[in-house]
Amino acid sequence: MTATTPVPAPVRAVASVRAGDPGRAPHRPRAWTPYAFLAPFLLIFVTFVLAPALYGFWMSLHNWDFFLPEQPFVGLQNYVELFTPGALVAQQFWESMRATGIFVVLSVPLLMVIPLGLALLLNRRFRGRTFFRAVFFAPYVLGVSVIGLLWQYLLNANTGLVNGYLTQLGLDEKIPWLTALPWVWVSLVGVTVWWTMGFNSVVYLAGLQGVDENLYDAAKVDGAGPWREFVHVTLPELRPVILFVLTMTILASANMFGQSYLLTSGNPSNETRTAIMYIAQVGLEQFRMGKGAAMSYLLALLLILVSALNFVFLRQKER
Amino acid sequence: MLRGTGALGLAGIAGLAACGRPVDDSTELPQVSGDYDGPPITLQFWNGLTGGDGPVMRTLLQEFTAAHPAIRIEMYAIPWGNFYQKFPAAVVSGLAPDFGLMHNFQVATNAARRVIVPLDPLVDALGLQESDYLPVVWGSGLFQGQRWSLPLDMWPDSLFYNRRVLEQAGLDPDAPPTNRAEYEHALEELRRRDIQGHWLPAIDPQGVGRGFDSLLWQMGGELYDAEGGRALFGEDAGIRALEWQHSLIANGWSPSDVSGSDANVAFKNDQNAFLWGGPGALINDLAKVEDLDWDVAPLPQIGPHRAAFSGSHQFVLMRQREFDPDRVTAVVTFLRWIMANSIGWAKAGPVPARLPILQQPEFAELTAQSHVAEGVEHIRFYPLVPGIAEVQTTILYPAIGDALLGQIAPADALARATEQASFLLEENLTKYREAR
Repeated sequence: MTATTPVPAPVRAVASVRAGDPGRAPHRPRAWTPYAFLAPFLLIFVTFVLAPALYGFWMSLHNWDFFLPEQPFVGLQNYVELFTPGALVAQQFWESMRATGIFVVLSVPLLMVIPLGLALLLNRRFRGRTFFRAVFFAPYVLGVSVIGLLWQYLLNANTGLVNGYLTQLGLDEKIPWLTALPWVWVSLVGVTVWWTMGFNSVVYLAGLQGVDENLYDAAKVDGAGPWREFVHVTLPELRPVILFVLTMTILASANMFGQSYLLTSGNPSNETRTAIMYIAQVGLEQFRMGKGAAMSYLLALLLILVSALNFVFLRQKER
Repeated sequence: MLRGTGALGLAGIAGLAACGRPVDDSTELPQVSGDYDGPPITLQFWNGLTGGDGPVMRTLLQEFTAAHPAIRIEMYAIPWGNFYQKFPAAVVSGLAPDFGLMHNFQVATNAARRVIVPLDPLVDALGLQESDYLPVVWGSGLFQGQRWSLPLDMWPDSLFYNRRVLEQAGLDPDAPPTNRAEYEHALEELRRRDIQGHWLPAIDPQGVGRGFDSLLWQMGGELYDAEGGRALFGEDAGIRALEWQHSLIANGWSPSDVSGSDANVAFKNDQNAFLWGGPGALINDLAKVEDLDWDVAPLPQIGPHRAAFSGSHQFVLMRQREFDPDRVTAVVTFLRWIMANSIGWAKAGPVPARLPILQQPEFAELTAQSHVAEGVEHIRFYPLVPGIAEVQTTILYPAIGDALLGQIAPADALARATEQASFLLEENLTKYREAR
């Protein structure tokens, strides 16, 4: 990244001033200044993220139930068990990882493409534009419990509004939106897209507004139509934004919990029990904390890996 | 963005929660006697009474304070799921409430965790008498030869029926079905009039499994062996129980893909004739619906035996770093008072655990509760095995849900659950061995 990232102008200016006048630097920061500025956040980070994370790793090496008098050290047993074919916890954990994977694969493309289209539309000038921007963003301000309850009522197979209207339209078979494959995924992905696309749209919209108008003018002069403008100007200019949205969306989708917890409770056959949901069950409901912590670490490692791949992808594109 | 908890964050929460030392279980309850007569004192009482039962308990607490002005009781109601997570943490960190209420099937688990204390030193002061209780209820507070809890009530699953729907189908609303032949006959009559008479939930963290439990016991089966080391629900009785449930859907007596709330909504709108459920949840809920003509009776006998799943709310004393005899005396004063006045608690729906209360004329005035009480001698509880509630809710109930959703044949669902349960049971045996 360093090779091609342009240095912002003010920094360049300061740098050149220093270079020209090495002896006197009235505002030269002391060595510890940056750390002083970082300290408040660092304190919170260490207390609430780093220390618990390390403690969690320690726990994952034990058969940990903190109410029992002994928490025997078991080494890597908790991890080994997650890779032991036939063990219940391994079976259920990978089943939940699979559910998470399915959700990521189904939801991320939609959450990338639909908000982009929406942002392009909302970026045009038309009457009521602000109103529509607000409308599409509105679901995002609701909490997961609200949207969970709302859609629970709407999608209920026997008493829900959606099936009620479908019946009036002449559909005979009721659709088990929340209880059978593949409908559960349609529901979960659909609800999530409806709920969170507003956020991605806003990020895209901000990106679109940062695109230099001159580039479009130049493209027009070169005879580009709307499609070629989109492919050769909009997309390349949006690349950093797209990457940000992609990374955030993958992480968020991989951490999906509330929707399936509230809408399907993991049904049918634990098909929609996501990894986070299973980890919470094992660690915080059953107090099998060593196992829960071990699973958390595996999931975290996997997500770090995916994010790292995204990053590598960015570097290659920029070269 | 989807606002799930991050994986690292989750590890973090678990880590923070565990920043305590294991429970110091050297302390014991002091011997106390008589009513509390010291300076004003405020007790902490935690429970999960967040529904319609909460206000009933608060009224009782006010009545108690009116009778014993020196003792004030602060009640904290948090949803049961959170309660079972939070109160052990409070005990470990030395912030335990004085006493609490919990489900009978959680007592053994929490006894094994040593977050509650044996009540044996208080048995005389409490005036506990075995003859006041049904054997199963009396035994439900005893674990490893010690008494850990004091049963307040029992809530047997019962047959709630919509009288108007029965009448519409030409059935006698004063004679609800009592056995398999009558029950199936009623369902068939309803079906001929296009009414699905028993909406059977396939999804419901509470309801799905309890109907199965009742049926399994009716078929003569057991859920687990005595040690809690092996699951028996996959044997013949269990298969027949689940197959019968499945036949409700196959015969068109229940819609498919029903959730617990569907069945309830349909019942309240005269679309469903029968609900199997507990009085604590349903009596006040149904009573609130205007113009609903309903009543309740013991569960019909589907198998060769009579049996009904029941739970029970039980008082427990939380372990303290040090017990203050004054506080313990005050708690005992309250417990003795509420055992004598548990008729007030029956208004919340459940049947009082002490049999003499059921003989009081005031109890007969509670029509629905006294109808529920008619079946009370056939109630069954989960075995007293630490960790058993988890096996039920995380392994057995989902399997039943799968079978009722048509994902898997009943026998296969139970066979798979038996195998899965063996892992968790084994793990629990190892984990709680200290406590055995």
